[in-house]
Amino acid sequence: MVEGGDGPPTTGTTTLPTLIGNHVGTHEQARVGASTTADQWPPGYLRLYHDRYDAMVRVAYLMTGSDLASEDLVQDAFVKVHRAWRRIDDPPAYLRQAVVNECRSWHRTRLRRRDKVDQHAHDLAVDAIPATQVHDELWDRLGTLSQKRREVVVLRFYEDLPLAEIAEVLGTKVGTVKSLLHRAVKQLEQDLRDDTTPEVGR
Amino acid sequence: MSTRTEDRISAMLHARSADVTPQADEALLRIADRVVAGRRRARYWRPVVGLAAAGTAVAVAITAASVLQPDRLEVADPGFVSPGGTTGEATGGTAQGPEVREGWQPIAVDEATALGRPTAAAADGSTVVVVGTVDEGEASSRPVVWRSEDAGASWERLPEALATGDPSGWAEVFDVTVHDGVFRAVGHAGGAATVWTSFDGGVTWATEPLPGARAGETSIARSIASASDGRTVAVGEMLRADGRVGAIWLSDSGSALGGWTSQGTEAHLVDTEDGEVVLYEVDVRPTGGFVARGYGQASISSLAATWDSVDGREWSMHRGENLAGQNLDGVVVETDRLVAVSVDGSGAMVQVSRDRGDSWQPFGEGMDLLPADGGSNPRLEGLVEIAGRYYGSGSYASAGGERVAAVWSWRDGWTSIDRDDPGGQTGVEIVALPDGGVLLIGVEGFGTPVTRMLVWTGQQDPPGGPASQG
Repeated sequence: MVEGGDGPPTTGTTTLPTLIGNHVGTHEQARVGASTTADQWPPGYLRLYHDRYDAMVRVAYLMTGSDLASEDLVQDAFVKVHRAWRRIDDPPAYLRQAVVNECRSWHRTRLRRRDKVDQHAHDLAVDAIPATQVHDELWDRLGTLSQKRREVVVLRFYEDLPLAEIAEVLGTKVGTVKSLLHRAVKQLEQDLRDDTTPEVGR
Repeated sequence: MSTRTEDRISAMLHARSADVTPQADEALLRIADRVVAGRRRARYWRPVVGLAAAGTAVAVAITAASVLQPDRLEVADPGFVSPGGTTGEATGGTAQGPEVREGWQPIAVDEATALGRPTAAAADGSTVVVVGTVDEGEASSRPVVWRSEDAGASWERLPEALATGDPSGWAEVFDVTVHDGVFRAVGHAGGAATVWTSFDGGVTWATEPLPGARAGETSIARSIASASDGRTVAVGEMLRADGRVGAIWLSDSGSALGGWTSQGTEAHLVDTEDGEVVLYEVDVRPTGGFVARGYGQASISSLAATWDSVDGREWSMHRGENLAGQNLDGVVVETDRLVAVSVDGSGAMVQVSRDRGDSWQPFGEGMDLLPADGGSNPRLEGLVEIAGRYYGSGSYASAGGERVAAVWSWRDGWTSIDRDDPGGQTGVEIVALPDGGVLLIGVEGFGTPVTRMLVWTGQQDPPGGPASQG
């Protein structure tokens, strides 16, 4: 059985292409044009999407290191934002928190898998990256940080969030964020220093 | 804290963020699909169902249609090492690559007969019934039946067999099962959950609406299973103004028509304030009773769950505590365990539960899915158990970059899905035949205006073959 339903389970009349205009190509209009109605998109949702989708994909990528997973995770987050829309006070903040949570779930699963498929996917991902990027040391070091430290680093130095806001996103105290950030930067500093320290006696 | 280091980190993050090129337009369409149609994975992942019921095993996989080459369908046996004993503990995988074997042959189906998008299949002896949908423009679709009386060697197409009685021209069929020679299919007609029943091998069908939807609500039946005690259960969802709720229907009329009752929805399926539930699949437990699978949506967490019932009336929900943030994308119900596939953004993991879904343990550690002569990026997309052997279906990228449809088999198994195809896709369904044969049903050109059924035939591994040597 093919799951999920491939047709248009809605009875509305205004279609998605009408709402998103030029963002949808002809082929996509034909594919799902009748399957989404205006009442499915709360006011402001599409604006949030267009304002934040790309940025959130990049945040997810920086948190996971997986370009394949990042779009998937952000789509998951947007679906959840849609479902919770009526009770959201601050959609951008809620979205960011949802993305962080999706990334955490992704990491949890990966930690449990550690199988050949996973390794194979990793190998493929590495193969797909240009050689110049593979040797980006700082990027590699970022991957050695714990998930929490990586989250803090991305939110602080990429999203440029103040510590208090990071604490809110992560559901922790500002002091904890400070500590995580301090240790993360120290770890990265130390790693880089170790790499650049000349070996003695050779 | 070193400002210089911070600057380097910031510069690195901004530079690396350019590694990804988000496809926002396409993504929004996929989100729309999921919000409205309940699809669970949008860009890279497609749902998969593994379902074995009443002696007929059915599975579905979705692969890339645009590159599917029926004459290149391959069978690979990865030599999977199964979990030992009955502990359910994970054991090591194999270091040996799969052996590619020939054996699957395409069955020619003329273009007019093949027209449509198959979604499910069931076999009763040599009679095979495939149900699907014909898409007609943007807003119209109607169910279609294909049937074969010679184990898939030849086919007839019955475009009018599943009557809908709905003037809107919008109807779909998602699943079919057979028990005691009676075929039952489920879907919806104009947004009303419907069951179609055939007593003559799929030639003629009676149409029955399923009860329970309130006025103006859309209801969809997505899966159906019949038990040996005469009970039949259908599961699906109802789309209400305040969200979606899972739906269960029961008929205890045996092989007769009628007797369908709604077994309620949110009262026993949602235990969170803002929860939503969708039920995707139902199966019969070999020892009696039913198992459904789906997921609940609470706050910003997705909660995979199974539902268990002895009689189809009273249901209990089981949420694996270690499944937070995951979905169960396919469950095979066995006598003493559930074998499930959970999928995340990076791949799939197979898990086993021996306590009806309350807890899950990883199942196996690794599989090499590529043939010895090369290939990359394997994708497992479907799971079915046939005669004690599991079959996974999916695809991998050939050396030339095209995706090649593939089937993997092993003794105790799992499956997965993974795809990044932007539009085209192919569903592959595996059906066991009584003579030891196996049929694969696929879709060519899904997502395009014209879709067609594809059929391959193969043979199950004989006893004593690779399956029993794992």
